[in-house]
Formats: sequence, C-alpha cells, structure tokens
Amino acid sequence: MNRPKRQQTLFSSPPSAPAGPTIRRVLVLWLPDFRLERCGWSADEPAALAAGLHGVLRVLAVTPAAARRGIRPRMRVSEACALEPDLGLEILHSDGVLPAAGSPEERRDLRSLARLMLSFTPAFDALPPQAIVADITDTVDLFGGDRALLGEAARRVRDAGHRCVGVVGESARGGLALARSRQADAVIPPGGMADALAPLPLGRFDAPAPLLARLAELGVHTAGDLAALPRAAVSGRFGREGLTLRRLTAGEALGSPIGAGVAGGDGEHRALLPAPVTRVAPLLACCDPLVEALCESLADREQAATRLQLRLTLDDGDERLLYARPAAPRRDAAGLARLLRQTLYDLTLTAPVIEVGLAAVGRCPWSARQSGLDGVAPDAPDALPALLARLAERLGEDAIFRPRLADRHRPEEGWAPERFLPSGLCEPTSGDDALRARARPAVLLPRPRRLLMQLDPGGSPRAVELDGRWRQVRERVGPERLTGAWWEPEPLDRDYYRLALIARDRAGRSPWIYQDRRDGSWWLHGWFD
Amino acid sequence: MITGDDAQYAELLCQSAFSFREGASLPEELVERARALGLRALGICDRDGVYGLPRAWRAAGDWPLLCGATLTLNALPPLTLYAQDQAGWGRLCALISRSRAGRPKGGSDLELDALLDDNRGLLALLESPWMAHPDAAGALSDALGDRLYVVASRLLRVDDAQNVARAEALSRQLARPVVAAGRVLVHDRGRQPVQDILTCLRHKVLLDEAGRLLEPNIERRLKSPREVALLFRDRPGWVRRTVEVADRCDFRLSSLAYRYPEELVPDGRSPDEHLRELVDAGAARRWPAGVPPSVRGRLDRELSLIAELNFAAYFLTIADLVRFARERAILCQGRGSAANSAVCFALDITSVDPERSDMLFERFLSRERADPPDIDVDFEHERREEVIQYLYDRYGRHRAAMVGEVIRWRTRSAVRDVGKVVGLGADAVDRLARGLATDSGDLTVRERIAAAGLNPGDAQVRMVARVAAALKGLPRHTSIHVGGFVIADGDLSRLCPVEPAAMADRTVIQWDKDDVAAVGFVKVDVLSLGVLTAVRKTFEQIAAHHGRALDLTSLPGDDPYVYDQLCQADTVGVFQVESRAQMSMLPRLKPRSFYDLVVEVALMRPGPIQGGMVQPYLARRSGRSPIRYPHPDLEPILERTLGVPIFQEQVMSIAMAVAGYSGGEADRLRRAMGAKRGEGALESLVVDLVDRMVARGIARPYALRIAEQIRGFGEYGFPESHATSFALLVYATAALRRYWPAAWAAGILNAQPMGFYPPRVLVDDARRHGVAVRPVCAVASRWDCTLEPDGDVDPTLGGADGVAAGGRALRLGLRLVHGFGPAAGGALEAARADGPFVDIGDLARRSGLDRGSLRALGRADAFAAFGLDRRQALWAIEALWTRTTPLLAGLPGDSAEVNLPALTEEERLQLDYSSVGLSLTNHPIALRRSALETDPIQALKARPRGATVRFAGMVTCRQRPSTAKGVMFLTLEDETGMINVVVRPDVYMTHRALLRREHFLILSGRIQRQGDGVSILAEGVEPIPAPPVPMKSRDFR
Repeated sequence: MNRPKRQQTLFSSPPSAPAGPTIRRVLVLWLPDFRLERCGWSADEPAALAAGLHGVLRVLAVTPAAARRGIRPRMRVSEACALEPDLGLEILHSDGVLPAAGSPEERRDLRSLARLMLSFTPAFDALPPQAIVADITDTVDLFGGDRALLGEAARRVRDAGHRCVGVVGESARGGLALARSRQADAVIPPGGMADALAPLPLGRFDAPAPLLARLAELGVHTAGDLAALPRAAVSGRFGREGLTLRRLTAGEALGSPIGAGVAGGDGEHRALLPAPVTRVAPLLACCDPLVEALCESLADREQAATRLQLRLTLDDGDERLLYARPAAPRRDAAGLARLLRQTLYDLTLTAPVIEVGLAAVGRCPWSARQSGLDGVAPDAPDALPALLARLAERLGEDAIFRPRLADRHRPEEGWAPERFLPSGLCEPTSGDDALRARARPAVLLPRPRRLLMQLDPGGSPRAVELDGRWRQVRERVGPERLTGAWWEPEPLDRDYYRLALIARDRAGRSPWIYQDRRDGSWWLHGWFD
Repeated sequence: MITGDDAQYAELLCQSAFSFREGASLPEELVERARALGLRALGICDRDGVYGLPRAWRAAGDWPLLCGATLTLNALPPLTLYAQDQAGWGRLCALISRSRAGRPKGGSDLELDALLDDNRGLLALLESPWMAHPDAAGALSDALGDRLYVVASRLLRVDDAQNVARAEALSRQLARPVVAAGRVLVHDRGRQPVQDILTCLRHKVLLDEAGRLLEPNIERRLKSPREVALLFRDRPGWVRRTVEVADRCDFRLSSLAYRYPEELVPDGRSPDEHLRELVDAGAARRWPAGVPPSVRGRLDRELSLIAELNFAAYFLTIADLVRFARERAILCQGRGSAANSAVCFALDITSVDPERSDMLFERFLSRERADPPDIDVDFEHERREEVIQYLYDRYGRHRAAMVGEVIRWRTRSAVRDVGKVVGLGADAVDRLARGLATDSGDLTVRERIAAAGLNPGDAQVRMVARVAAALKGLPRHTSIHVGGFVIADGDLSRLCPVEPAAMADRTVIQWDKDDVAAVGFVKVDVLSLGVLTAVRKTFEQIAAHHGRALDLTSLPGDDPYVYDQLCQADTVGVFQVESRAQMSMLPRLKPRSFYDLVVEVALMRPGPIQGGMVQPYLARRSGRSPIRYPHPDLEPILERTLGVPIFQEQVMSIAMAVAGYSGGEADRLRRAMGAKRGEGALESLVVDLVDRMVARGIARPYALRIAEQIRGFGEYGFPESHATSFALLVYATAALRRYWPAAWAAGILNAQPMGFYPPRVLVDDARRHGVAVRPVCAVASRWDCTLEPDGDVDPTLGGADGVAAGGRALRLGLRLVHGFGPAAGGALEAARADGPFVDIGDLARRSGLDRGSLRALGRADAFAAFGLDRRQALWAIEALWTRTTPLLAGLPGDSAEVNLPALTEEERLQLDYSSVGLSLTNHPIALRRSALETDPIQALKARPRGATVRFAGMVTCRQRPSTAKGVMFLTLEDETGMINVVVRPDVYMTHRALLRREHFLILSGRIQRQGDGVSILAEGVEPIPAPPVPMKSRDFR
C-alpha cells in the first residue's frame, strides 16, 4: 500500500484552505516539440532523437523533415540511417530501458524549464516528457486573472525557445488532454471542464488500450460519451480503470497535489529551501529529512541504495549533480547521511542553492544483515570495499575500475574496465576466464608496434628487433590464428606467437607478436611477464 | 624434413549443414571438396541425424564415404558413431530413433546404456571432453574394444596444446589409439560469414554480441592431407591411422536392404495372384455387362508388367487405403499418371474409364524405368488424418512413417534471418527481403535495394544482401512431406532414423522424397484435396434437405445447363476453373463436353502458355485457322487436341511414333520436361529426338518444329490423365453449384479454408444465384453453415432433370465468427440441445462460454434473436462479470438503462467484416458510391471494346505470376459484380505501392473483349480516400 508522501517543502506550512469550497485553477503548458527543441533542430532538418532500448538503438522522435523521409518513432537507428544517410542524431543515455517519462537529461531540462513557473506559484511540477503543470489557485488573482497569467507564463516558455499550448482549467490531466488537442491557448471557465472535455477522443487521456478498445465497441469514443454513462455501470463493467477514466472525462482532479515533491515517477525526494543556502551545514540539515524519506521509501519496496544522486539547483538557474556510492547496499538514514556529508565536504558552488533533490539511482533488493548485540546493525564493512568506496567518492567514479575479460576474440577488445560496485555486487571471475587470461599478456600495447623480423625457411620467426637490437628466438608458442570480424571495417586475420628470446629485454619479458596475414607484416602487441 | 607431400588422410569428423545451424556446407560440397583435396575418405557425422547422407552418397558415388552421426548423450559429451556394416547401420538408426522418441521436434537425448547394450557393427570416436567422465569412457571402451578411438584436433586455437594433452591422457587411460581429425564445419574458408551467422541464429544473439560464441578462426574446414600432416608433424601416426579407421567402415547406402511389406496377401497366394483377383472383381463391378475386349487386353498387359516389376504389393496397399476410405465414407480419388492405368480404374483408385479415354500406360509404368509407379490419391482434407492413422495401425508404427522434407533458406527467409542477426531494423529487413525476393526482371542487387527504398550505399544493407545470398539454399529446418509415406517389411527405424513430427501422432523419417527414391524405398502418397471435403459436405446437405443420396458417379451427366454456366465463366468456387485466368479462358474455349473440360484444365498452365499452344488451339477450335499436323503420323496422336500438343502423353507418343523411342525412353524425355529449368537434360534429349526423327525419314524442318513445341513444355507438368481426373471434379462441382446452390455454398463454406476465394465472395456468389442467406445467430446457427426451410423458390433455377434448387436458405455457421473456436461452438450447440435460451445470461450460464467467445458473438451480431443490437449485447456481456461470487456468475450485472450510440452504417459494415468477414447488408463500395463518381462494375460489361472507363472496387485477389513477364492480374468487385483487370508492367512499376498494398482502388482503363469475356486494361490507379473497412485480399504468385 502506498504511504502518503511527506511534504518536503521547508516553507513554514501550506497556505490554509479558505472557508467554503475552493474552485481549483490549474495551468497546463503542453510542449509538443520539447524533445526535439532541446536538441536545437529546426523542422527542416532531417534529424531524430534516439536511445538505446533493450540493447537496440531506436528512434524516439523525429523532425518533420525526417518524417517526410519515412523515419518513424520506434524504428531502429540503423534502419533510419539506411533511409536517410545524412540523418542528424541525438542519442539519449538510457541504461537500456527508457521510461515513458523520458531520459534523465530530458527530465532535468524539463524541470529546469518548469522553474519558470516559480514566478507565479511555488506549486508546480514538470510532467515528463513534455508538459508543465502549476497550481495557480491561490495566486492567479495576483497576476490579473487566468488569461493574463496564462499569457505571461506561455510567453516566458516561448521566449525560452519552446513552442507551447497552454490551458487553464480545474484539473491537471484534463487540462493536459485539452492542451494536446488544441492549437491555441484556452481558459476553461470554472465549472466548464466537463463540457470542454466532452468532444475529446478518449485516447487523449492515456488510458490503457484494451479499455479503450472495449469502450469503442460500445460506441463510447469521446469523453462526453463516457461521462454520460452511469458511474456505477461503468465501475461494474470496467473496474477501477474505467471509473478513473470516467472521473477524468468528467473534469475531476485526480492524483497527487501539484508540487508535492515527487515528480516524473523517478523517485526523487525534493525540498525547496526557505532561503538560498551558501554553506554546507544548513545544506546538510536540509538533506536529513530527504534521507529519511528516501530510506522509508526504500524500506517500503524492500530495497537498498547502491548509488545516491544529489541534485542541487542553484540560484543562477544552473544545476549540479553529485553522486555517492555506499561501500555496501544500505538503507539506514544515519549511514547514508554520513555518506552525503563526505560528498558535500569540499564542494565548491558558483551560486547559492535554492532546491535539493535526493534519489537512489542505484538500487538492489535488500538482504537482512546480522545485527549486533545491542540490536543495531554493525557498521563495519570490509576494509577494502570501504576504502574503494571512499576513493571513488574522492577521485571520481571512473577512476576506480577493474579489468574484466571481454567476450571478444579481437585482443584489443579482450578486456573492458568494469565500474566499481559496492561489495557483494561484483561478479566473480570464472575458471574459464582465468584460463583464457593466462593465454593473454599482462601488458597489452595501446596500439600494436611494427616489428622487423628474421624468418626461417618455413616462414616462422627466427629473430626479432627490439629496442634497436636483434634478439634470437629460443622458442615460440603458436600460431594462434584469429580470423573473422568480417562485418567490421577492419576484419581480423592474424597469427599470434608468444616468443621466448635468448637474450631477454631488460624487464625479462616475453613478447607477444602477430603476423597480419593480409599483408605479411609483423607487429608487437604485448608482453608476458 | 616432413613435408606431408605423401601423406594420406581421411577426415573423420565432419558435420554438414544438416547439423542445423552448426555446419555451413552442403554434404555434396563437402564430398566434392574432399575428393578435390585428395582425401582418402570422408566421414559425415551430423548431429543426431543422417539427414544429409543420401545427398553425400549420391555425390560420392563409389568414393569412400563413412556413414555416421554424432549423438547427444544424457549428461555426457557428444559421441560420434560410424556404421561398419549393414547391422551397424541398423543399430545407428535405431539409436538415433530412440534418442528422438518422445521428445519435442528437434530434441534428442540418449542414455549411454542404450549403446553399451548393443553396439556390434559400430565404431566410436571419443573427443577430449570425455576425460572428465572416466567411468563412462571406460565403460565405452570395455563395450566397444578395438572399435573405439580417441580423437585429437589442432585448430590453431589457444587451447590446442591442452586438447592434445587431454586426448593423449584419455588414450593412455583407455589404452586406445589416437587419430587426428579436423572437426570440420565448412568445406571452404569462404563460408566463414555464413558459419558465423548460423552460430548467431543457434544461440539467438546479435552478431555484434556473439563474441566468443563464434569460432575464433575458420580452421574447422576441410584441409588437404599435406596441411594436416604439417599440423601433426610431431604425431604422424595419428594422421596415418585415419585411413585405417576409414577402411574399417565399409558400409554404403547402396547396400541398404529395403523390402516392401506383403501381409495384405492372403495365405497361399502370391501378391500377383491376389492383385489379379481384386482386379477381376473390380472389372466385373465396373463393367457389369462384361469387360470390353480392349480393356481386358489392357488389364492383362498391365498386370503382367506389374508382376514382372514386382510391384503387386504396392498396388494392394493403395487399393486397401481406398477401400478403407470408402468404408468410412471418406471421398477419395486417384490423380496424376495413375489415371493412365486400367488396373487403377478397376481397383477404384481412379475414376478415368480406360474405355472412354486413350491413355498412355507408359506414362505410368514402364519396363525400362524400374522405379515404383507414382500413385497419387487425394482424400478429403479434413479427414485425411484418418487414413494416415489407418496406415500406422495397419502396418505398425515401427514399420511406417511419413517422408521428411527439407526446408531451405530462400531469399526472403535468408534476408530476414541475416538482417535480424546483423541488427538491421525490422522495417528495413522487411523491405530488403521483399525487394530482393520479388521478381523484378533484370534489376541488379543495388537497384533492387534502391527500389525497396533503402540506401544502396549503406554498408550494412549490402552486407546483409551478400551474406543472405550465400546462406540461400542451405537447409533451415526439416518438415514433413505433404503426404508421402514409407512402409517397410521390417523395422523401419533400422533403415533410416524415425523421429516424432511436430504434429501429434505422426512420425517422420529423416530423408526427403528424393533421398527415399535414391535408396529405393517405395513411397505411398496420401494427399489431401479440399474440394473433396466440400463435395462430401454438399452431398450431406443434399441428402438431409433434399432427400437425395448422391455420389460422384450419380450426378447428371453432360448437362447443357452446367456447360452454359461454364461458358459464361460463372464459376466462382468451381474446382480448377475459378481463377482469373481460367475464367477468361472459359468464354473463349466454350466447353460443351467432358473432354473440353480436360483441355480447359490443362491449357491454362505455364507450359502451354509459354509454348505458344493456347492461341493456335483456340483459333483452330473456333475455325479461324485450319487444323494441320506437322507429319501425317502425328494425326492420330494430336487429333483430339486439333493438332496442338497439350499433354505430356502426346509428346511421349510423338517421340514413340516418329522417332522410334521406346516407352522408357519417352518417359525419360517426359521427366526431362518436368524437371526444373536448368536441372534437366532436356536440350540434349531434344537434339537426340530430332536426329532420330531425321534418321527415320522425317524431314528436318518438321522435326525441328516438333522440337520447338517440346521445348515449350519445359515448365509443363500436367499429363492428360491428371487433367482428366481433375475434369471429373470440375464437372461435379459445377453441377452441384448449378442445381443445389445453397447446399454447395454450405459445403464449400464448411470446407474452408480452401480454393481461390474468401467466404464473402462465395456468399455473394450464392446470393447472386438466388440463395437466401441468413446471418450468424447464437440461437439458430450451428458450428457449420446449414440449410433452413425457405419459402422463396427461384423458378429460373430449375434444371433439365427437374431438380428444384430453391426452397432452402443458407444459415451462416458459427465457424465464420472470428475469435470463436470449435470448442465454444460445441459447448453452445450442446447447451442449446437442452432447450432454447432465454437471454444472454441464460446462454452464458448454460454454455459456459468465456467472455472472449461471448464478445466474439456479440461483435458478430449473433444476439439479434434476443432483440439486442451489437452494442446492447456487448453492454450486457460486460455486465455478466461484474459480480465475483461464483454462485452469481453469469447473471446480468445490473439493470441500468443506458442509451448507447447507435451504429452508423459504416461502423456496422466494419463490424460485419471484422467479425464475420462478410456483410449481408451492404457493400463497402456502395457506401462510398455517391462520392466516387465511378461506374458500377456491372455497367462496364455492356461497354464496347476500347471504351475508356473509370471504376472503383475492392480487390478480391491479385496475381503476378513469374511467367507473366511482369504483368499483374487483379480481380475487383463492387456491389454489382466482379471484373478482371490486367496491369501492364509499366503501369505496375508506376503504381506498384498502391497495387501491392491497397485493398480498395479506383482504376481507369480500357475495355478488352475476348469472346464473351470482358476485362479491363488498367491505365491509371488511385487509392480510395478513407477505405470503408479493414480488408484482406488473397494474393497469389
């Protein structure tokens, strides 16, 4: 069961509700081309936004020019490039699965854009992937009414370079459905939401496709059609989904309060600071309730954090993202707060912080740990993982890695750096890998080095020139023949030898050489210890 | 110094492409390469099968080929076995059959004990992984003794030394010698791309992600003895010993001892005697007034040849199958060359009366050709399984199995699989597959890629095209032959491995029909024909509703009204003559007799069309040109077809009459004509024919003209006997349709899917012929379409024999409802038998139908009998599941009155088509008629030749046969009728996207008339804006 979300704002308290029923006013700004506009493309350029989804690079959105060439969302990028060789591409980082709410970069930019609404109300949210919503119930009168506020808000977004359609109404999802259906801004008068929504097709409300198909068979195509059916009859036949859709089509406001702290479904806990913060200590104080909320939500899901993301929104509109990795998966507030303290310890900022967001961007299932005699879990992780965790925090995540054998024949691709993970999450090395590793040199040259060779009559190496000296070959192991990768620009066709030399080099190492069978040339590729 | 120049080597471990998705070379490629490299022998040991051995054997001839397989053992490494002799082969086949038995298709697993028990005649090779299983290896060594060898390979891989060391250790442990082997997967290094693609397909990974699943190099290829000797220069004995192993395995497929079973023969009589008895009894039944002398003579001659060739038992099997089918009231009929046999007619296998037709027996059986005759018998397609299971029961499952079939990669499937592995997107793969597979004349690959809308400069696209071309032709998977059966006197699984088929209760051997013929097995063909099902179901309707018991022999003969309809090309649903091409031929040929139907069936085939026979025949038939013969000796042969050779038998007779060919030689010529282009030796045989005609005094110009006519038969495969058998069914179905249109409509609808047209066309055709058609109804419809009493009798349908066609309406069956299955239909019919339904809730509760089935009925408007339209019914159905208490399940959920929007005409039509596939209320074109400004199709038929017309229609079927030189043929229909359209290549190329995809078209063009036939020559094509209903056409090549 979902627990009620904790309100993280550090303002004194929410404005008290006036007596009597309040007519809610909600502003929705729909940005139809946001995903492409943020990449800086014009409609005349054949360009596409793409992301790696389930191991395949796919198109997410296209400019009109690309659409005219037959490129469509969901198409593979290779296919799109086959249709348009000069296609402009922006690849989103997606970790393999891109949520419907868009990539982290898109959500970040949308949140940044949504902060323009701060001028009108503190209660706003980004609705990824391409809408902004703001509760203007209490502030609309300060800006000259619905229409004036809408005009000003839309102007600011357009000035920021984004096309948008704005609607002011009584519900966010209803307003979003209306905005997506319109070409121009609109203000729906109080009490008029249901009438305004009535002609909209039900597909505008993002309802599940099977539900829409069942309703369509009954001739229920529009919001008005559905709203005309008795609630009980709809509920009985179509369950909770049907009832929710019916309430939306009737203009009812559903869902979390706007600006409640969790947006976009990415699990970030946010706190808007009461005043810009310039020192670490108050910033840490603001983080504590966020850490507690995060740990609660992790506990709800039986998960632990393996990586934290701290987002600091600065007063100059910039944003800083900081990451922290615990040495082991954990979800205790005290431990995670200590980690954040380390992370913030020597931070330098260009402007005061006005908002903080905390999320566990790395998670794993929680496994219980042996508690101490006093009932408290011992906080003594292995020394090495703890050290590595601290090094990763200090030196940067990319500075700590281990080489891992890659599943490739081409020696240059024979290993890959594996990012540091907390203790217990690294895969052990298999026996097969260990065997294979012994057949490869400890030192692999970044780039093979051309060699001069003397060959015996059978074509095998007899002497090799190293460091300007000819060295006789005492023994050779090989050839190990590697051919293939015929689909790559540079196919593989090599015979490798491990040589034992009569006069070793200064370090006493054995060279690993190969002959390129395409042209007969010889190359030094590494050294065995 | 070791040079290896005098080395002798036999490759003992070689897997062909029949180790599916492992090997990348055909068996024949491997054999040819091995011979060219100078190997002493080649052992082919495919995984858990011997699929490729007959091909390898045919390629090898007398060259030594070792026959073996690599078996998958339970919890142990694979084991390679070779047959040393006939007994060993039998055990190998039995072991493979045992490993396959009881497992899903493609699966295999064998316990080692099965091999330890009985292994005489088998020689085994162990690879180094057996080191990890010392006990099992020891047990094998004890069981096989000196028939066990250890194998070592050097493949220039990082683990070569380790593998050799392990092989030596295993050798020491078992005290058995080591032999060298190449673990071959390809015949040549050029196959590496195909090899890698196959590996990816096997592991279901992308090429980029395959990594070390791929072989590190292409050293698993056939190598010369010198190369192997150099690789094993430190172990020359291992190489020499391969020849010793090969010499110990001298089993050859040519020594396979197959015998046909003879148990159908009663004790004390020979098969020949029993066959003669059955033939005599059959002849007495066929000719109650006495067998005519000419027929008697034919029977005696045939029986004597059958006895001489020892095929009597085979004839007895076929006669037994036909007897079984007739006892079970399963319609069946022999076709093909068997209709040339009087014996087959006497045995009721065929229906072509030898007294009425002059058939060439040599086409069926000849002394020179020792092959068993090919007797094809068609059974009702829905009941053929009964005949198949009878065969299993009659001979036992250990002695009978179906013939396999190898499905090879074709252009389309190769592009799809390679594209998938390479990571090309689904849409691009689809375009490329269609672009490369479509017959686009002389376009280059680059041009085809561009025509498919892809960038021909894209390296990935070009790579896919290149590798797919190399993959094409390799075996992809095995399937089951359309109806071929092999039965043996003994255990079939000791002649060839038998494995379960994908279909339940069927087993299949690992060889296809060519392999079966090559090793001398006799194949029995149990084929299926949908029209026989339709005819039998029509007979049942007629018996039930008109009180007449009919069969194929009791239909009104040579009825002029039946021929009238045929001459008018009014033949929708009529067997063989319902296609667009046949419909255009009928008004020109104007059949008025049974033999005209035989010609009609045979004439519209690629052979006569390409051979230029059609126009000369029609011209002579209409009297527009005189009947001439190339030589007076040919007049008796060609007289029936007005001097134009149309049938294969005529070509054979010509060769026999004017070139002195024997029956066997003439049959060889016929086989060459029937062979695929490029594979046969037709050209050299034609040259020989000309020479022999000239030598016998025929003038060379005449001989050359005959040769030209024969060349025209290069694509032709329709013998007169076959055409005659089919013509019988043409007449039968035309007569049923003429006199019992409602029963015929029910019969053909209940036999779907079959034939040329979808149910909507068949129903429309029945309505055009006066049949009242009633919609699907949950209260009245049965699973099948049925007849109901109907007051309206169409007087114009009275036939010559006074049979009234009317009086019955056609009630559409539940089988037409999409998403409603036979189990649901049975449940509904069973519940209805207990009493009429009160409402939907009552129906749902008593029948137990699930929500999906009820909604399918609701969408099909099947609840109109309850006074509910579609939406009201669906609203009521949704309410049935609002309560969750089982006690109340099925009761109406609430009584809320709602006003659901009424269906528009367009919505109703869309639901008609999407739920039942047809509409009884309107036609999609009629819905758009006012906006289209086009002529109705019926009105076009009155327009003069050359008139310019513009009309709209729904595409009923489209054809672009490879023999039509780029011409496309369409059939379009609207609410007034159907018309054929011819699209020339230039128009097709301009509008191909529309013509290939759209189901509703506006066409402009000119009227063409040939005889009474009318068609349109298309000049312009447009789509209909906003097509009224989602639709599918039947597209043929």
